[in-house]
Amino acid sequence: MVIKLKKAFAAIVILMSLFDLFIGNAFAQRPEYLAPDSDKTVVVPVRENITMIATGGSNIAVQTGELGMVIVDSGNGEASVSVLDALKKLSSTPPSYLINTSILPSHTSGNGAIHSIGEGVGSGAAILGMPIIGHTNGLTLLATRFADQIPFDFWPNNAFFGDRKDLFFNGEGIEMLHQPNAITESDIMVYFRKSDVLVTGSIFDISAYPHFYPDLGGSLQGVIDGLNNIIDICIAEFNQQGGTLVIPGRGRLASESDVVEYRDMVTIIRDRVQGMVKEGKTFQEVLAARPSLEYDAIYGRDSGEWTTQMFLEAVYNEFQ
Amino acid sequence: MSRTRQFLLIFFLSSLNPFSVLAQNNISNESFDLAGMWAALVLEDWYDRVPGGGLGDYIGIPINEAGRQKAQTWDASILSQPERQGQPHPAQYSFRGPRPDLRFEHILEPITDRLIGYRTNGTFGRADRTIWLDGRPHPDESYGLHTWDGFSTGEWVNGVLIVTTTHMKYGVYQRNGVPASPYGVMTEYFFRHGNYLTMLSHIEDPVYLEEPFVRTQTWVWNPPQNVGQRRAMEAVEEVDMKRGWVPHWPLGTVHPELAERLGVSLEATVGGSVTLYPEYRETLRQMREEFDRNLAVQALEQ
Repeated sequence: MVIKLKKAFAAIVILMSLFDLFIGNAFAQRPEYLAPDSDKTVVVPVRENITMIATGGSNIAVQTGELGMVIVDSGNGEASVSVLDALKKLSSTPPSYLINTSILPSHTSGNGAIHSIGEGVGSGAAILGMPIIGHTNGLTLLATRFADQIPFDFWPNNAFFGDRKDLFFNGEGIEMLHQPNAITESDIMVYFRKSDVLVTGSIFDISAYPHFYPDLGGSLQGVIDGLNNIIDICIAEFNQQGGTLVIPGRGRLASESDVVEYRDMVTIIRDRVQGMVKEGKTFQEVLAARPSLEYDAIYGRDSGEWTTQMFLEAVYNEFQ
Repeated sequence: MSRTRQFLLIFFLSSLNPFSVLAQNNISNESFDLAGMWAALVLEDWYDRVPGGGLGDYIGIPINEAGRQKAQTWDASILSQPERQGQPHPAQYSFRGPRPDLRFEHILEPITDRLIGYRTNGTFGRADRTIWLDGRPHPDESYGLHTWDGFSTGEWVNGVLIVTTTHMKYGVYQRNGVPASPYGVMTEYFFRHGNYLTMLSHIEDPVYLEEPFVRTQTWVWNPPQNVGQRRAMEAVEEVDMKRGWVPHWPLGTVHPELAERLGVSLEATVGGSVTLYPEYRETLRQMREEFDRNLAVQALEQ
């Protein structure tokens, strides 16, 4: 019996070699997300009436139904042709609402394309364009910082300035929740109550370290508060998965436990950097201590718009 | 090319020799039925699997520097977070411990009664797994949902069920906080010999491993065993904690207890691929000799 077991084990080793060399490990790498200027999209079914369309700029969430589509964010402009194509395949009804979770161009550059096929409200001479919902704080930022990138006609024309705005459409309640001083001062999250899907905007970007903009009113603490709010909204169905599904600002579809991992990562790095600042360490000393080492291969970048060093510097500066 | 791959390649090439032992192997092409009750034989690696490795014990795991930092700063109190209390063992570990005794059940295509997969039960926290045998594709590589059991597909090759699992969650390779990234690929080889079922798992992790991590587990067929239904876990308030509480040890924490107990240097207990190979025994022997010399010197000084 021992000899036969040895032979069986040897056969396994051969199979491992063949599998490893020719088949295996196709996925054993960090995921390759769409580039920020990519003209491609990836369509991911989420729930029966909710779909995620990934673009290089941001993820787009689409609620379909008899009354029309509710679309959250519009992604980067380069992907608009592909986005419109995907929308046509999802539903024969036109978009009725567009909601912007942020005023950043990565989330709003496709507003014009979606607006062009959207259904206006009103009738006759009083017909207005499709409602674009956003937070009032974003209008100020659009006017002062991004006016040259997003044409005025495609700015939010249905802005709210409170903590929340509600809408009931296609048979379910939709909550728009303002998250103060997170990525910018204009972030909102969108929760589809019946579908149990939460669209977080870039407060939760599972593809990278949080890219917050202090000069636009953003802060690391605001991001952490936002992540804790996301966790409060989520209820896992069974053993920390299922239940509420989360469409992040960028990256893969997620559930509560993915947000928990991300919240823990941001909190741990915050605690480490804050501790070193209290000890009087310089930024170079903080960098040398490698406070994000175990997370860099997942969320970090060595080049591009938001590198690991830039993230750590922003965290460091928050405690100066 | 890693040492493991070199070994596998040499092994494969040697098997092409018509006189080799491997060429005489006579495994049939037939598959076998996994359905039923299987009791875990945990004497292999008992210490790692049943009580579980202690803090700082990463022996035999090819973790890299990033994985080591994550493990050394991991605080077990994090499992008291309300959001983690119901967390099952991830696929990277669930067949490894604390036992587990398993129930394999069929998934049949409802119209044709064709076997299209297996579902397993019996792992800690109901970390049930599903292995699809009908050739369905894995979710989108970059944007698909990750789950605790991952997404597994299997195929029969020469009487061995080869299961490929992707889309696992951020988990652990061992219960003492050795991290497993969500971007690993696990290949499992199930082969049966009489009443025994052995599974060899081979995990590649681009984030936390220096080379593939290979382990084996064995079960014995045990029809009277009852792996019954268990309820899902429910989060309770275990300790008074602030909202957003994330316990962790400070950067630079090391756990020297095991090294001190064994009389070796700390580096011997913190894993890495260099510690996996037989030649490392000579290094360990030298460490032990130095440890004994120091003890003798201390005794003389007293």
